[in-house]
Amino acid sequence: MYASVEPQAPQDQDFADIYKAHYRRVFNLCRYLLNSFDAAEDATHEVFLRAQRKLESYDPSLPFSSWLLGIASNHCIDLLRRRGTERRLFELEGSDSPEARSAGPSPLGQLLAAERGDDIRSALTELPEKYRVPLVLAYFNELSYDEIARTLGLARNNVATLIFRGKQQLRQKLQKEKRSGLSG
Amino acid sequence: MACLDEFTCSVYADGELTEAEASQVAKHLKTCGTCCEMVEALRCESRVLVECLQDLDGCECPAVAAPEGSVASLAKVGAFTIAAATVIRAALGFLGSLELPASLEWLDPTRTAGQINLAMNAITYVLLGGGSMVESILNSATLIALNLLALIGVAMLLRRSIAMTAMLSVIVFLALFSSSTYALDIRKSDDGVITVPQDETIDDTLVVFGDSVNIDGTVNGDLIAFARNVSVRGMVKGNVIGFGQHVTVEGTVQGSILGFGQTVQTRGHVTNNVYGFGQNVGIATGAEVSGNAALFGSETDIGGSIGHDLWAFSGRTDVRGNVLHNVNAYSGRVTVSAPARIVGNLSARVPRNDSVRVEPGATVGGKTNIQVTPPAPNRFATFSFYVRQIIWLAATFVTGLILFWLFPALTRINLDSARALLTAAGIGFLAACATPIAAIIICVTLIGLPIGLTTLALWILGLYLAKIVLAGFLGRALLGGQGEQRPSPALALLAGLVLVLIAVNLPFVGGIINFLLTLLGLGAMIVTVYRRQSPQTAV
Repeated sequence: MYASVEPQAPQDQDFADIYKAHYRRVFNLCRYLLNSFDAAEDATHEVFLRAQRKLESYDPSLPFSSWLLGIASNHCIDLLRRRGTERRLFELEGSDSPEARSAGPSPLGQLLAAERGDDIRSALTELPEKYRVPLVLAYFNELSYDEIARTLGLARNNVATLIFRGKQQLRQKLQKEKRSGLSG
Repeated sequence: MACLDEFTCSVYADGELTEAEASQVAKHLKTCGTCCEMVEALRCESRVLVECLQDLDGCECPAVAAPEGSVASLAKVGAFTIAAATVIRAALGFLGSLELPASLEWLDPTRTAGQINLAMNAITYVLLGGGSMVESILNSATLIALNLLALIGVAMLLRRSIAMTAMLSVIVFLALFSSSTYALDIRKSDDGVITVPQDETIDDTLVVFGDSVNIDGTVNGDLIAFARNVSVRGMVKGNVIGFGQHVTVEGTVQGSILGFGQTVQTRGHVTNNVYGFGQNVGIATGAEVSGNAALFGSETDIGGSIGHDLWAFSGRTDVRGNVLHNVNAYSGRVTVSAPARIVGNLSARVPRNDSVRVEPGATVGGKTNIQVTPPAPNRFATFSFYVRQIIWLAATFVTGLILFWLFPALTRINLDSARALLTAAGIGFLAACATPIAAIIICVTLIGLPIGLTTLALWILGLYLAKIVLAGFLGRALLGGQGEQRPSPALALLAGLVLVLIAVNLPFVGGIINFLLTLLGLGAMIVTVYRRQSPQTAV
């Protein structure tokens, strides 16, 4: 994974400044996870409220944004659980057979690099939640597989498979869009 | 070692294999170009994903500001509103100070005559684009209305409650089975002149658009006419609804007349009532109205005969004909001159006692009751002003609480940045001006009448709620506080409403501030609703 280099927030930093500095990041995480502008706005406000309450428990040796994004992802996953879809959400379908693992198209590094960010973000919103959430935690929050497994209450292997399949589906969607864009 | 599967490469590229597995893979990669390429591509993919997801500039995001508003944002809204209000007020003051000769007063858009003239010219300009233009607008409006209906229907069915779906079904039902869609004869003309000749009889309701509409024949249904000049010399057995610069009825109308125009003149025989709205509204000598006449205009002349009551709301009312019941005039000046005969009472509400003149030769059979409207006292010195404000405050407070309870997203509107302010003002202005026009166009298509009326009702509701929504934001900004220290929504709303109340009652600029705050609130509300309705856009 890619190490994040974050300025650390001192405990006594004015909360309004914290809000301004991190609002967009937290909002976008909530929006990726919840897939709704409105729900993300609500969730973001709640996250900052919780962060303000828990500010005492923040360990300054860790990046502040990681701590804040942790609160945000936990809150959003709680919300998803409350929706009652979480159990279905992260359950794996089918076996973890090698065939299944290599069923998707090849890595699309070059294609992805050439895509507009908007297309990738848009394709991400179309993914089923069970793939979208681990992908967001891995590539937006930059959590390790172990951390994602703890957050979602899953086995590490399952997380690896969900991320792998999530990326496969993302590639399929982008390729499909590209083809329809070319033919259109 | 055999080549690696893609899954192993993917986990390796993410740096998530165990140390032992990773060292085995690394060993293989030294000897296998294919797997090496695969891992490199997967790494590249992961990097792109991180960059794209973390690219905050590429994401639509609400304005970043302190969560519950701040005094700074209040100052921004205040500065924007007061500056805009002062500029508009100064511009209006300048226009008002221009002295035009009396004969050119109709050119001055700040005077009533000028405003009526402007409105009439604008309306006839649209109508004069010719029948084809009107037809094209109507066709487009009908198409847009039906498409919108279908879209709203699908959207509602997919995401809204049963109540909303039921409401939609009622609208669709009304639109499809509106009785007004039956028995219509719609006419237009390329050269703009439409004439129903003397020997022609139309059995249906006739709807006509053109530069000049002349009805010399017989219309057995209603006549609905939109034109610069509407002239009825024949017979209409139903009602006449005329919309034009000059509406003149010289023939016989067995129903009522509803006329909107710069001049609305009745010279013929009308079996029911006459309702006239315009600059010059009159019932000419020789005309006979069997029912009532209600006339609204800057000048009202009654030379003919009215079978029942006359109600006149105008700057100047002249009565020379017969009124078989009462005359009620709310005018700047009332003159009853010979050979006028009023059988009932003459009631006049005028600014001065000498504003009513009954000339010799004119008769008033009943009582003459003159009520002088005293000059309006300073409104701040009257008790009723404060009672009205308290009622307004209480009503808007309760409405606001219900509104915010139903739509909590409206409690989070933010006008902290200049961009948000300008966006809200622009969208608010557009919605405030374009909505009623669109609604009227939809209404004119007849098939869309219920939709048009619903749109108008929503527009009025939106204008009322706009200041309440804005007050919520201003209150939060005024009281400040974040997180647990933030004020309760009710307290913030109350504070905001008091602030709005004071601002809109300020002397000199209060009216314009009222207008601007409404625009801002309406715009902010629309932006919020739009975002709420499109959760998937541009994540």
